[in-house]
Amino acid sequence: MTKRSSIRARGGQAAVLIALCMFSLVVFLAFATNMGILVNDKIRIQNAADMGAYSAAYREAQILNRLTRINQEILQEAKQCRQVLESRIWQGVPCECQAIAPDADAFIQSCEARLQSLESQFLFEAEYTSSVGSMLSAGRAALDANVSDLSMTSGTHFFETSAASPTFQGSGITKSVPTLTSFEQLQSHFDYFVMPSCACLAGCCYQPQVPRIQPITLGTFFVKPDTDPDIWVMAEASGAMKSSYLDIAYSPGGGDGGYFGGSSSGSDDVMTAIGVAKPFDGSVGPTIPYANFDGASRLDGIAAGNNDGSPIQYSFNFLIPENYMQATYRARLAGVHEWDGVNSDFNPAAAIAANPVGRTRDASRIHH
Amino acid sequence: MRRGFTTKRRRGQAAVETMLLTFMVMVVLLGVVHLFSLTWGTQNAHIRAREAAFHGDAYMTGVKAGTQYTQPGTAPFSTSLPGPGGNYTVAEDSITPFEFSATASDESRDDLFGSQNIEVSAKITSN
Repeated sequence: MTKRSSIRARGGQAAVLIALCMFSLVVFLAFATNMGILVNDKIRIQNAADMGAYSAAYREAQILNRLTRINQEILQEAKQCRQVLESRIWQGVPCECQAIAPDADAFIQSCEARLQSLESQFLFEAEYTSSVGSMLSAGRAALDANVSDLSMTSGTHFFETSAASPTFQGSGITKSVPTLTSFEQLQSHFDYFVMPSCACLAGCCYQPQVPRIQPITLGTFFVKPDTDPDIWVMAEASGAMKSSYLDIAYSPGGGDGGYFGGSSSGSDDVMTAIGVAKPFDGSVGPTIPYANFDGASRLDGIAAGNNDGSPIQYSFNFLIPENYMQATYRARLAGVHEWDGVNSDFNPAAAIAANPVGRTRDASRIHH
Repeated sequence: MRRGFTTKRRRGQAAVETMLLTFMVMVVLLGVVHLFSLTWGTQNAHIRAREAAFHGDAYMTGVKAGTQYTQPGTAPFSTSLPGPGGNYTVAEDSITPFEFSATASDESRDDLFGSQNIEVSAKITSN
């Protein structure tokens, strides 16, 4: 009775055991699959962030090269204008014993019109929506191209709403126009000689026939107000995976519910990656070193004398700035921590700490 | 007689259960190993595609050069430019839109579940 009861009680025990084992094994298999998907998506979204940031930085380098070429054209135009103005002594108005030369005035007006046209081109290219807008468009295109089957969330951005980022609309301002980065237009003085024409038909006016120097001021090429603006681009890509064969880790909508998904700010399954890139190795124009402690912002050794109203220096004026306009910008990936301890206008770690819309606020978690 | 029959019927049951369970455990373990291999290969492919898109033929020099990725056109990095192993090319403003891309592949190990080929592409693009 006891033995029979015992045997009956053990009937199906193995089935229970196998069921338990099978459950454990299936969970184990799901865990392994899940980890694979997680690692795979992590590297995909990291690649996408890097590609997005790099594409934006490459576009930025292209725009900076374009700005440099326009700046070079402005410089050449200013040089030609000055050479023509200096090459002769302009004749004054007959019987007007004043240093007024209509031909010179007409020539200066034409110079000014050409310079203003180039200035408009420069500002159009540098203007925020055409420059940064174009960069961000390229970055988003690269993100989409690299993670087409990931569901990118609204957390994907380029820190364009963060004041600590160069992509912020107010970071670069020229003449109250938001631009890619800060530029200032150099006001250059042009001096030319006018010979007053005092010999009247009726006789001599008894005026000395000597040429007089006439100064004019024209807006010429653009300079940078600080030594080296850091105009990096940072992308924060966030996305939830849409698995086609085991949707166990993520909720495609980004809500809570996965087993092993993770994010840096919440308990849901949206993954985030940061990519930073920057243009380098070029120069739109010379910088203004604020080294003259007289309060004047002069181009030390570049257009010295011209920028503060003193007579021009014929020997080197406009020659040296050419060396500061190199359309050789390239782009490279950068690390968030490259700016640690660096005195910079903008710092990626600071932008991450003040992240206004994204998910990551701890730069120490980003190790590249 | 009845008791003996019962004992004989149960003899070997544990062995059969153990065999079945061992078989299932082995299948699952092999599956896990295969998944690991798949993940490993996928990561390889992603890294290859990414590095090839950025660095072109500067990536993976030696005997494996060019055998595990394809790259139409050029990369932003060139070994012919001065620098440590090369340098990034100047971003010519006349080239818009731009695109640099590479496709790389790898495969999982060939085992009970066969071998899967993994192909991954990476793109640096403005459109």
